[in-house]
Formats: sequence, structure tokens, C-alpha cells
Amino acid sequence: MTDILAARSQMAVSLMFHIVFAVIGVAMPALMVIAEWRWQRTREAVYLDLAKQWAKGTAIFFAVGAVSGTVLSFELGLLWPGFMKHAGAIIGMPFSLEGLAFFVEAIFLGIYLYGFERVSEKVHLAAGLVVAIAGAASAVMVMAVNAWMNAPTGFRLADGTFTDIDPVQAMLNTAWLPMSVHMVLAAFVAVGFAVAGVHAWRLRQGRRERFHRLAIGLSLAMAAPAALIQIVSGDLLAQHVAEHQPIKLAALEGQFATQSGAPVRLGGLPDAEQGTMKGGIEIPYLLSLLAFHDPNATVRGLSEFPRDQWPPLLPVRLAWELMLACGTILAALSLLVAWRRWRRPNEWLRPRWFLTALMVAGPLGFIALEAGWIVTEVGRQPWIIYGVMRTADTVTPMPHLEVPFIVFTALYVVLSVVVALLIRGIVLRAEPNRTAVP
Amino acid sequence: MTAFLPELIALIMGIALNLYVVLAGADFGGGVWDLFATGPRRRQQRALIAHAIGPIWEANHVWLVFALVVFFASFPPAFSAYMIALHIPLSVALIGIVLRGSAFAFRSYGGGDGAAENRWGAIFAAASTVTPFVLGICVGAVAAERIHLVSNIPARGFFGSWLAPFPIAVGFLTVSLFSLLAAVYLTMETADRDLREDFRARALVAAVLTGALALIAALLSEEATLEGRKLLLFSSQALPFHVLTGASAIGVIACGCESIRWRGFWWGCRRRCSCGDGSRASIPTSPSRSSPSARLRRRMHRSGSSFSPRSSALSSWSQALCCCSERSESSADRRPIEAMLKGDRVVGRRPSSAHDSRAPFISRSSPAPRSPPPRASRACRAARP
Repeated sequence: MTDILAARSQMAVSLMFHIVFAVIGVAMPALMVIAEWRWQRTREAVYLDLAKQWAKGTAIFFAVGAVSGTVLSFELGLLWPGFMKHAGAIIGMPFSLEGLAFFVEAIFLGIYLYGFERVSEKVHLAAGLVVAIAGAASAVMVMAVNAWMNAPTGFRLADGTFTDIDPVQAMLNTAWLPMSVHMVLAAFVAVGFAVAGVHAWRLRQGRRERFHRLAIGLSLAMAAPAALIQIVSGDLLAQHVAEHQPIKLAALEGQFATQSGAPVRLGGLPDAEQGTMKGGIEIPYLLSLLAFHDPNATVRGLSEFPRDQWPPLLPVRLAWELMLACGTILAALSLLVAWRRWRRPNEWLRPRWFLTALMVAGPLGFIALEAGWIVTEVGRQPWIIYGVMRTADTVTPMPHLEVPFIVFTALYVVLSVVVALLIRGIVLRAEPNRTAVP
Repeated sequence: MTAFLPELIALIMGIALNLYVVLAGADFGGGVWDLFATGPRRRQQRALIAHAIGPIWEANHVWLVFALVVFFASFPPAFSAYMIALHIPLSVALIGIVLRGSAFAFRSYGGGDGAAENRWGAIFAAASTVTPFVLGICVGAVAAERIHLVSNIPARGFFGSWLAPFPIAVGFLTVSLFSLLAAVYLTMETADRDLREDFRARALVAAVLTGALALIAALLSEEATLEGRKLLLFSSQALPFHVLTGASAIGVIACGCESIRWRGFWWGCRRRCSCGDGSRASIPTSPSRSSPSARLRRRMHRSGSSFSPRSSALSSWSQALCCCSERSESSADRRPIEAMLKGDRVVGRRPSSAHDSRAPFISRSSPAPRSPPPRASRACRAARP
């Protein structure tokens, strides 16, 4: 394993671990606030119960997310000192705003968790709302950094150094809006369906009917609309990629030759040596239509670009297909949910097959999320700043990077297992004695 | 203004790092004392440490991250050089931070299993000791000007940049300093006389050790460049800090030794508060319903305190202070996190009456075996002759 690959793998593992917790920190507070708001409106104790259970989950994930976030802020420098040396001044502003948002989130989460009996109901709910908003704001700020790496702006390159740095313009880059909308929606989709899946699992086993029913209802009320809007948001983002990162689009779609009226290929693996796609079904004109809203638009193929600017084709292509598949399934499931709630408002959750479907769909949102990050991050390679700076030029000169990679990977694997066991414990413990509660 | 901008930013970073040392340092120190918990009360010591760290345990890293962000945004080339030369100790510190934060949460959430709890506790304690040690090494390496890059490679090598007597002495000094901080804070975190005494003794030991290690570090500083040593030890900018440090050191040790007298005063106040179990409460006789003072008395009575009519103005003030601190320290504000961390089920419903404000958001259904010492009643027992 080369050092650059080890460094990239370590960064990937850290990001993939942290994203799960970061996303839960964005969407879980929204759920607990919705539940508490329902309680204040209806005074049904079961809603309060739900808010408390969800708050407990939020606290664990927030704690682990805070630690893994600290690690990431160091790893940026430890693994990519060349990047930080040149870009530190540019991305410092969104990062400090992200830190501020995290600080606000931590403080108000503290007020929310420990201030229930000390502040008025309205203030308590407002504190929860601030947690949710600050969580989303910190996601948006981190996205500003990543968007800048994909669509760099706000500086002038002279002799390998960045001059005339304008951090505000860098932050307001063109990719920021579509990327952050896509990310925040993804958080709502992934967390909403995962929570619904967990509660569907318990409901399927015949536990605490009403508690779990309401939980599924609330989480899907958040996730299902988000899953449908996500299609529009994904389309906007894909158009941005088509315009600004043609190599990435070509790699995603397996488009080797420049072509007008390009097809969308379902399935199939890219063969870089032959320059063709193996297998798969072609839907003519669809790619041109989707990417440029014109069935005859020309899509630039990989062959137009030097080979050393191609991203790794296979992982990008697989992740792209996986993300689209999961997103499509979840959007379809959202329509099914809406239809069932409309047609059978009282027993929409009754059939076992529907609960099974929700349970199976539980992890899909997170799979789509991870796959989406592989698409955007691996799809940007070999650049760390698209078109400006290569990843290989920024890696630390430290040798034997496979050692920290293995250590951190082992650490995160163990932590994931432990967190999963703890959450399982919380879910299971939430239940006995529950029959008494209406 | 712009001429002093670098100094100003460095000052801001310095303030943030000092806040990190004072706030998170005490948390690390708590972990050190968890590792060195000895004697008949070691379980209570550990419970007290967990209790004290509880509500805020990872939020303090915000200061480190803030300093880091300011660092790379303002001095990117220096940041890059530090990150290359200090890759190994910083990676160890990160592993320590991850293990520490997670182990603390897992120990608390673990739910019942004593063996698992001990295992997480051991990891928490070990990580809390190693992390400040390596962070101290990094500070020492920077202070000794050991970081030089020659064509992007550290001139002294990836180990030589920090593996030297002076940085290691600073590492030990950091651990000792954090333990001192934690021990001093912990004496104020409990009302249990024996526990207090334990941590007072530990604070004194840590204070002496810190002084000795500081002296060793000063002697070893000659391996830094001559310029660096002069700046560290004899420059006029350093002088106020040396005076301040010396004065604080003397102050801490004096307070530690004199705390018997102080405690007399403190317990004098406490004794008059009846500390919660009600046994010593002398309830004021038939307070008139209208007067504000009577209402205050009733309130104090409700909160578990008594009101002696004979007490002087000063002692009622101190008494009120005591009661306030008692109230704010007592079960209500810390129980929720304890309960949450224990992963207990929720029983508390929101009380309808605004007066009954003690029911926590998330409360424990049954007293957990490892709950921290109920302060108030212990204080009473200790105060009883």
C-alpha cells in the first residue's frame, strides 16, 4: 500500500465514520423537537416519551460525533499539510463558522437535555429548535469547504501560491448551494428512514403499539417529503457537476466518447483499458436530457481528457449506481407511504409486509449517503482542489502511513460495534413496563 | 493595527489554548486521578470524578479546535510544518481523545455489567493520562524550537523533532499540572469530608510534583537553542508569567495546607443548613403567611434548609449562599445526565405544577449502584459531631 493510498484511506474511513454521527446530529434534534411540539399541542404523554427517547439517542451520537469531528480537524493537517498550507487561509472562515455553530449546538443541547425543569416549555422547545438549526448550519458550513474544493474560487494562482484571497467569495462558490441542500436533505432522509426502520422492527415484534406507531409516523413525516425533494436537489447538483466537472460526470455515467444525445446506462461496469462499458442497459438521450435539459446536448466523454486526470472509474461508478438505486427505492417507498396514509389513515401501518419494507429500508438512506460521498470525493480525484492542486502533491512526507490507517480503522470499527450495541440496549430497555403507558 | 495583527491573533490563540488547559485540562486530570484512585474510598473517588466531568465532558474540545482553526487560517505554513513534524505524537493524542471520550460515554451507558464498566473505566483513565502527556510533548517540541523543515522533511526526523528530554519533561509537567488542577477542583465538587481530604492530599502531592517537574524542565531547557532558553527563562516578557506562576503555586500550596481552617468556616456554614435529610432542620415556628421573609423561610425549608433566627447577618448570608449552592449542586441538575448516561428508562413526566420543579427531564427509575454520593446527606453525617 502506497503512502498516498494509506492517507486517502485513513481520511475516507474517518469521514465515513464521522458523517454518520454528524448527520444524526443534524436530523435527530429536528425529530425530537417535532415530538415535543406534538406533546405541547396534544398533551399526550406518549409524545413526551418519544421526545425523551430520541433525546437520549441524540446525546450518545452527539458525544461520539464531537470526538470524531475533533479528529478530522486534525487529520486535515496531519495527512494533507500541503493542502492546508495553501488553502488554510481560504477555508478558515467557513471552518470557524462551523465551529461557532457546533458551539451553539452543544450549549443549547445542554440546555435542552438538562434544562427541562428549569426553563419554560416554550424556551425548552426553542432551545431544541436552536440545536436543530445549528446542526444544519454546521453541515452547511462544512459543505462550503467541500464545495470550494470542487468549485474553487476566490483566489489567484501565481507561481504555485494563492494570492488575492477573498474568503467570502470562496465560501459563496457555485457548488455550495446545491451541495448543502443535497446534504441536509440527505440527513433528513437517512435519519428519518433509519428511525422508522428501528421502530418498525419493534412494532413488528408486537411491542408498544402506539409508541412505535407515532414514532414511525413522525419520522416518516420528516423523511418522505425530503426523499421526494431530494430528486429535484440531486438533479440540480448533477447539472452543476455536468457544467463544472465534466470528467466527474463522464466517470459517473461511464461516458467514454464525446457524444450528443448521450444515453443513461443502467448497470454495467467501466473498462478503462478498452474504453467501453461492459453490460448494462442504455436508455437513449436520457443523459443529455437530464444533465443539460436538452435531448441532443453534447456530453463530453472521458477520452477528451488526459488519462492522468481520470478519477478511479470503478468505485465511482459503483457508488453512483448504489446511491441512485437507494434514492429511487426510498422515493418510491415515500410515495407508497403517502398513498397508504391517504387511503388507510387508521391502519396504514397494520400489514406486516409494510413494516418489513420499512425495516429493510432503514439502512438504505445511510448507504446512499456514504455512496454519495464516495461519488463526490473519489470522483474529484486526482485533484484535492479541482483543477488546481493534486492530492498526491499535498500528502504528508511522513513514511509508513499504513500504520495510522490500520490503527484508526481498527479503532473506528470497534467504536461502531460498541455504539450499535449501546443503541440496541437503549431501544430494548425503552420497552418493558411500557404497557402501562397509554 | 495591521502591524500587530499576527501578535493579536497569536494572543487569541493563546487565550483559547489557556482556556483549553484550564477547562479540558481538569477533565484530563480527573482521568489521571481515576487511574490513581486508591485507598478505601476509591469507588467514591471514581464516582465523584465521573460526576464532575459528566455534563460537559467533550464540549471543552471546542477550545482546541478553535485554536487549531485560527492557527491554520492565520499561519498556514507554520501549521503545515507542525503537522508534518509532530505527526506521531498528535496521532497518538487523537487516538487518546477518541478512546477517552468514547470510553467515558460507554462506561456510563454500559448498563449494569461491572466488568465492562471497569474495562471502559481503565481505558478512560489510561487515555486521559497519555493524551496530555503527548500534547505536552508537542508544546515542549515547539517551545524548544525543534521543528525545522528542510525541503518538506523535518530536519531532526519524524521522531527526533519531539523525542528529546525537554519535550518529555514538559509532557510529564503537563500531566502533573492537569492532575493538580483536577484535584483542586474536585475538593470543591464534594461535600464528603473524607473525599475532600483525599483530594486535598492529592492536590498537595501534585503541587509539589508540578514544582519539581517545572524545575527539571527549566534545567533541561538548555537543549533548546540558547536564544530559546533566554526567551523562556530570562526575558522581560517571560518575567510577569514567572511571577504569576510562582505566586499561584505558593497560593495553591498555602490554601491546601491552610484548608483545615477554611474548612472550619465552611462547615460552620454547612452545619446551619440542614443539608437535605431533614433530621437537623429546625423549622421556624409558624411563619406568618404574608411577609416576604416568611415566604423565603418557607422556601428554604422546602428546599431542605433551616433558618436560625439567631444567626447574624453574615451567617445568614453565608447560609443563603450555602443553600443556593446546595440547591444548584444537588440532585436536580446532574442527575439527568447520570440517568441518561446510565441509559435508564424514562419515568419522569412533566409536572403540572410550576412549583414542583425538581423532577428531571430524564430521571432514574431506581437508584443505580454506582450513583455518586448523595452530597447533602453525607455532608450532614460528616457535620454531625
